[in-house]
Amino acid sequence: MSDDVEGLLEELVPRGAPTRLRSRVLDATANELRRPARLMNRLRAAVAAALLVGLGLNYVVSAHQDERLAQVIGPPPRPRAVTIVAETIAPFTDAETAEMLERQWCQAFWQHQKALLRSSGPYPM
Amino acid sequence: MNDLAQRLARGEPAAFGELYDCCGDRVHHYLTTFLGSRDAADEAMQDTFVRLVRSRDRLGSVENLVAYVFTVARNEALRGVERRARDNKRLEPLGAADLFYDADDPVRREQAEAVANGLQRLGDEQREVVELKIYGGLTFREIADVTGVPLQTAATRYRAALECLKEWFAR
Repeated sequence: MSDDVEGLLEELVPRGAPTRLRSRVLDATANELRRPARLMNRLRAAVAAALLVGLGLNYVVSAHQDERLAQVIGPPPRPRAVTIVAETIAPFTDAETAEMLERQWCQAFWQHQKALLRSSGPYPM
Repeated sequence: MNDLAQRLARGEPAAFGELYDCCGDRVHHYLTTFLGSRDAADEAMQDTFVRLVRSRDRLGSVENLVAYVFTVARNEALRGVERRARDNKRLEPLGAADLFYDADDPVRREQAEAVANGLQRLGDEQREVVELKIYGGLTFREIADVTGVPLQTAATRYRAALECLKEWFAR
């Protein structure tokens, strides 16, 4: 009996798409075929350029961060222990030597601090 | 068909014309019953082909091109249904003239009316399976792939739909 129903359905001729639709669809298809290659290529190039610029900026910012910080908030503070040692040796040498040693010790001190921060990860406990 | 898929993937405009000639009418009929309107089916048909162009890189590796076109058309139809729900649009039920060519024979015309009414009375899922099987010419395997249901479910829905239609015609 289901075969009868199937037969009944199959006997009817289904209406197809309107004739004008073919050209409309194919025009839209042709337009789309012309468009995306340029658009997608531009999009890919823009994304690649943005990534490169981002990486470059990140490098520049990292490289000059210490200089910028020094310009904005002044040089890093001198540890008290270093200042005391410099003041202690100044009478035995001279002011210039004491200042030079103090500068070098400060630099070493802050480099050591940075190394400690880096080794402890982004969120030191 | 594999050659056509390769040409589609390369973006040859003539290949899209061949694809349209190969399954355009069947897909349009499916979209008409899915969306309940020939105008909406026209829109969805165009969107389907534009979508196929946009994803043409994938077409080269598609095993069953016709089933794939039906799948893309179905996705477009679902988007159309969502849009219509948002816009709160209501449609008139499809008549025999929307679905079948006019027959000179009055008996055949009556038959077409009965089938159109019967299809309207089926649930969406059952109507879809009948449409894909009888007028789309797809196998149960292909219907299962297009609708995303197991093969057995597709076959069961089809049989249940035929039973419903049988009861409807018997009245």
